[in-house]
Amino acid sequence: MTLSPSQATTETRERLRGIVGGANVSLSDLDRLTYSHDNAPILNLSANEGRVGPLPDVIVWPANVAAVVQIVRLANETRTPIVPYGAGSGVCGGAAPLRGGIILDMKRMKQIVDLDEESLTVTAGAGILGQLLESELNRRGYTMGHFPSSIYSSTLGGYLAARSAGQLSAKYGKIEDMVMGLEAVLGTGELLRTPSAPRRPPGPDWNQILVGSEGVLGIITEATCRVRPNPESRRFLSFMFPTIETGVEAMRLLMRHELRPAAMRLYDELDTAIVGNSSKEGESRESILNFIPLSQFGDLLASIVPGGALPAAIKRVGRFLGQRADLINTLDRFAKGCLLVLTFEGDEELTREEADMATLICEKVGGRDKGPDPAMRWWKNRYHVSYLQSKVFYHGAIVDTIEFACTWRRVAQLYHAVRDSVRELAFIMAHFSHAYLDGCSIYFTFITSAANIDKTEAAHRAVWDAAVGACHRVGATLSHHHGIGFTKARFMPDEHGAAMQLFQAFKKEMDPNGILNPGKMGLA
Amino acid sequence: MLKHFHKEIEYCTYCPKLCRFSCPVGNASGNETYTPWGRQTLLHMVNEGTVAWDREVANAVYKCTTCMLCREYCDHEIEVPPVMLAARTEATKQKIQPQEAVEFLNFFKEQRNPYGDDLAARLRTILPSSSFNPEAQVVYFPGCANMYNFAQTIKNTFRLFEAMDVNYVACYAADVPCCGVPLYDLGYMAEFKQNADRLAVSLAKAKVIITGCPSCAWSLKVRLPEVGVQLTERIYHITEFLAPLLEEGKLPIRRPFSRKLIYHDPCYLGRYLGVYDQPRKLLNEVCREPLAEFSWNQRHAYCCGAGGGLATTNPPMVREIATERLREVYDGEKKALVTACPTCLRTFQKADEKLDILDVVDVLARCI
Amino acid sequence: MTTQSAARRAINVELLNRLRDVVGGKRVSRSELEGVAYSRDMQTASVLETRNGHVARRPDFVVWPESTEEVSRILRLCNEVRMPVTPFGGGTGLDGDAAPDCGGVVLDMKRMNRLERISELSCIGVCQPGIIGAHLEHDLNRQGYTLGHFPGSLGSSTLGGWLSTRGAGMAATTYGKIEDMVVSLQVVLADGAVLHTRTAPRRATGPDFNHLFIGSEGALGVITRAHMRIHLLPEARYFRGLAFKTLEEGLTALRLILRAGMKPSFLRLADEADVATNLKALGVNVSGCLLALVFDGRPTQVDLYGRKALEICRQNGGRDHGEEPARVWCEHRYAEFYRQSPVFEEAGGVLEHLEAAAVWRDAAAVHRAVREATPGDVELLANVPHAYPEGCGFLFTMVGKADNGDAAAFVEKTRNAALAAARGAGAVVSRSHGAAKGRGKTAADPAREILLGVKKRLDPNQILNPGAFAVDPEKPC
Repeated sequence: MTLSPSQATTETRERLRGIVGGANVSLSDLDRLTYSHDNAPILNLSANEGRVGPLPDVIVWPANVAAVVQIVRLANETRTPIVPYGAGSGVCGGAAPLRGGIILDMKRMKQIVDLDEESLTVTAGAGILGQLLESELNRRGYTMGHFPSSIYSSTLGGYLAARSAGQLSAKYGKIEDMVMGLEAVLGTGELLRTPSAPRRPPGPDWNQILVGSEGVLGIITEATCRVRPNPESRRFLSFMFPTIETGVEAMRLLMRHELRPAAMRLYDELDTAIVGNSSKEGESRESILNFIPLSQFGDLLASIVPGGALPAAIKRVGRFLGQRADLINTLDRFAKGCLLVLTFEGDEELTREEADMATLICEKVGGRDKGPDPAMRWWKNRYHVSYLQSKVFYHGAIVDTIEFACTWRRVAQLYHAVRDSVRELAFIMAHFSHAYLDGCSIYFTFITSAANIDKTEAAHRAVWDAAVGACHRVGATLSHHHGIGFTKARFMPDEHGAAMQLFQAFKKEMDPNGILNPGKMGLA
Repeated sequence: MLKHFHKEIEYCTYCPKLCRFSCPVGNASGNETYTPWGRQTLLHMVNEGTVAWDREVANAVYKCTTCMLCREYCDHEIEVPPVMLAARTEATKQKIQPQEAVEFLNFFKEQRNPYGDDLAARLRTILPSSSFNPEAQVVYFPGCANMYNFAQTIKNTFRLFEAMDVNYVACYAADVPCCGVPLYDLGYMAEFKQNADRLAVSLAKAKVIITGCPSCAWSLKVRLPEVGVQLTERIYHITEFLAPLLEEGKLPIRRPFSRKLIYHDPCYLGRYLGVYDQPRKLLNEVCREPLAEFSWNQRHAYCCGAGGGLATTNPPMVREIATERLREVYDGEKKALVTACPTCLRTFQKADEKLDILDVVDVLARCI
Repeated sequence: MTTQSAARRAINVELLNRLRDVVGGKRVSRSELEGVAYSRDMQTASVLETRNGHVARRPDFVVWPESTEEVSRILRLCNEVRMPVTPFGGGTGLDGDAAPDCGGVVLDMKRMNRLERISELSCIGVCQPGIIGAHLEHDLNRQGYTLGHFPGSLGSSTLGGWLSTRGAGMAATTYGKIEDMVVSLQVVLADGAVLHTRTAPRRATGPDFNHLFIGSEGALGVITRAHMRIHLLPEARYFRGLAFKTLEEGLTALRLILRAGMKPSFLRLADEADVATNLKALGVNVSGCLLALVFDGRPTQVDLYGRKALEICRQNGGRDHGEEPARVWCEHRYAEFYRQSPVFEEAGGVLEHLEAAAVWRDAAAVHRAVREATPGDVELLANVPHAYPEGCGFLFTMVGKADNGDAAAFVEKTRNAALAAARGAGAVVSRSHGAAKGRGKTAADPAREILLGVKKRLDPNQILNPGAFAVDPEKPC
């Protein structure tokens, strides 16, 4: 395979080897190919087609912050871009080296430096994989409470840089709630440390400037985060609501009355039909899955979409479904309502009290108690959905997720506006999660396809343009936890308006030579 | 200056302005200077010699309605109005009081009342001569604000007396029509004393004085003794007089009052005289609907804005304060406003012409 | 009285007319007298100056805007002529942030003082920045809500002030610190541009720029509207007072309560001195340290919390004193702030505050270190007003008499010593100290340099609260 050669000069290569040791510098084409993309669907699609995007020139694995500082200094001198890289699970192309340069793989900086059991804090290197950190904490009797669906393949530094939120964020908080202090190397090569204390020092909050900056302002090298004791008890509840609106109302009321479920997700009709709502494991009546088990859903798609060639899958499916109106009606028959799954965890008595109160509230709004099973099934399979991605790509379609957030007042409006805007363009389903006192997030999954990759990319872009247009018209935010990267960079001016100049001001101060992760987030 | 008030001045100067939110002038003006803390700090600076005791500082001490709400939020129970009033006395001595105060005094001197009107004669057109008796021992003192603005309330008062078989109250002839409060409030202590001496003669025979105005009650009861004039000790506001009679069943109610009412505690009736229950008892007895309350009520009732001479020195600010107070009247169901002070009444009327507003006496009179 | 350069005077005449064009004649003041009230906040040094009859730098103008548009036009004007602008809320801050070090325009925000509306669905209150806390809380309560922010200065400080100093109140354990309550802000920049951060419960669209303005003391922009999270008033409230022999025992009990997942709403862990002074004055008679716990919430919830918390306290040496100590303190929680006046009124008397926060591992040591650093003739009171699973905050109050009337030296000696001791023991100090506005000359600090750089970009003429982010704190103007 011939790839464009690395642009790293001899001098740079030597200096890098001098900083981290020869074994921790790679110029291999194989590595360069691997590190050319993260998990952005559009990049996966390209990779699927054998298309290769911009490649990095060199990959480096620093072991400590001193090395990072030296590398940043080198990059400044030579004006070489640096892209910090955790495990590349981001879905927006945030870790893609658009302008070549150095990929800084942080995963050697993975030590757990300190676990303060009295203060319930853990300090760890930014390169530690989420699940490994969580497992070690669990072993000692604690949890970070941060469970993004990418936990097996993402790092602490990635969480912070991408401003992530896990599935249990309603109880444990989002990453910015968890972080107390952090250490970062700025684009200038200077080291910034924020103190770990329950209260910030005077002045603006540097944690909040760096968290969510996706590597464009600084490279996070270490962080101190809050942890909690492992919960002694966990309760599962599920309710079926007749409509989206009643389900959303239940969520809103639970938060309004200061309940803090660990997880809370409401699936829309279609999503519910697919996920299933039977009260007993294996009971084969109410789920489309029991006619078409989920694991074979991809195969169903495959039977409609012949592999190898790339027909306009959605048109085919659409035509197919149009001819098979009975199938649509079947779907309708399965659309028996919206499923809400809830979990509470913590102290046994406190959890029970919360669960009882939640049941009261849900039933008052019209929810039918489906017992713990659907919720337990979701819990057991909560990472499972990510595995389905492969099937879709295998069949030449693209699956992507959109996650907007808005205040309760606008949630119903947002849901309908987004679905309407993409109705002609893609097959879309949604669930509501990450609820707050003032609103929640809507997580849309869409699948689209077209005759060839360029057209698929265009279709994908069209869906995003339509959806974000609807989002901004409603007044919602364009990303709840996936971030911006480069795939959504074009929406940043609209998202921030005049506030964008703040971001630009920080960028110019913290990275005057523009070497950190260039081409991202709508910055110049 | 004001050595007598050294503690008050100093305490307020060093305080983190804990009463700040309660000052009507502070809230209406938004100006730090016209807050208890701000004014006291200025007096402190005057004492330190940093700031000259001049017209501008004097102006500042006139920007207080004397409502006493600040005391309610002071753990030291500091009373700021007496300091302000004492400072105003100093100001008039040095002739640095506001021009409006100077003009007011000239105007007052014409007829010895704030209205430039022959109020005694006016009173004679309101009540029949049988209501007057110079030998009477129980005297109704209408107050100049009632005489000028609310003839009907005076009439209603006597209708109530008649209905209750109270035939021993005579109306004061009002030869000294004003209790002197406007003079006191503006710092004209010499003139206040002159007026007080005249009142002493005019009210010498009265063993019980009932007034239609809380400021008059306070003035006759507390301020006159400050300048050495002691009238009878038994001085009451009309609601204090009527309430016990109501309890004795003397009020013949023929029909209830049907409109929903909200009651405003006048500052001088509430925080000064301590009268909160009596007006409420009277109203609850005759009203069909339960009496509505302001959320700032009783001891925490907000001011109408017109006290402390502010109506003379700064009418626009009075209007702003009154408008703020009236906001809750418009919330929720339609209500009429009832109060027990002619100054509050007139001030609210001027702030909102369309406002439905009554005196407690007027409400009672419609029910007999 | 104030020395003004000829150039400044010339600007002022012209500027006066232009300001009048924006707000009318009544909402601009050039009065030197009115400038007295606006020359200071509650920083101890300035209280002492006032005591000595000294008035610090007065503003050239005081302006009272009533709308965002007016604020925008005023800033644009001032930017053109490089006139400093200092936003002013209640003027009750302890760091000199609201004092117009460089004269110029003081922008008194208190005529922008409305709770504009409440979204019941979204539990959001849309507020103007100049609303005094007691009014805001009152207006919210009337509709069944609370903001849950109770600083000691509730009666005199404003929402804008809390935001720009990043304040925490007495119920922060449950309701959060002020930065946790903000959904979005509308801010006017130095050139008059108006920006809004997006009103959404949570965003992953880059840094959170609310946090640039929160805590920056008006030096980066003037906040003109805030969307704040509000909560339903609690149905039930539980009170309990627990006495402990030592502060360490109290800290342990508190730590375990939070670790178990319970959050008091109001709380105060008072050390012996605090109990013997402030609490005794309220009629609470307890020996040793006192933990006053208040839980807000559902009746079933607070009962449960109360029972569990009581058990934890008992297991750690706590003696149950029933409801009363906590109830009495909670109902009179502003009483101790009245103490300031009598202290300063006495010749030579000085009262100082220091706020510090530490993780649990360091908490007891921080308290000990401050105690040890405080001279014997200075009264030191300490309490914990808010706590978290990871640590707690302390409020230290120091009262004493200055020798030879040199009160400033007294402050330097006691407060600086306490501050250094607290930091040495691992605390983060929320109230800083030092030359000009409590910023102090710190060693090369990349964060500070970057902020100065950002400030220069956003405010190239350095008009917004120039003393707060001065390149040279000794010469801010």
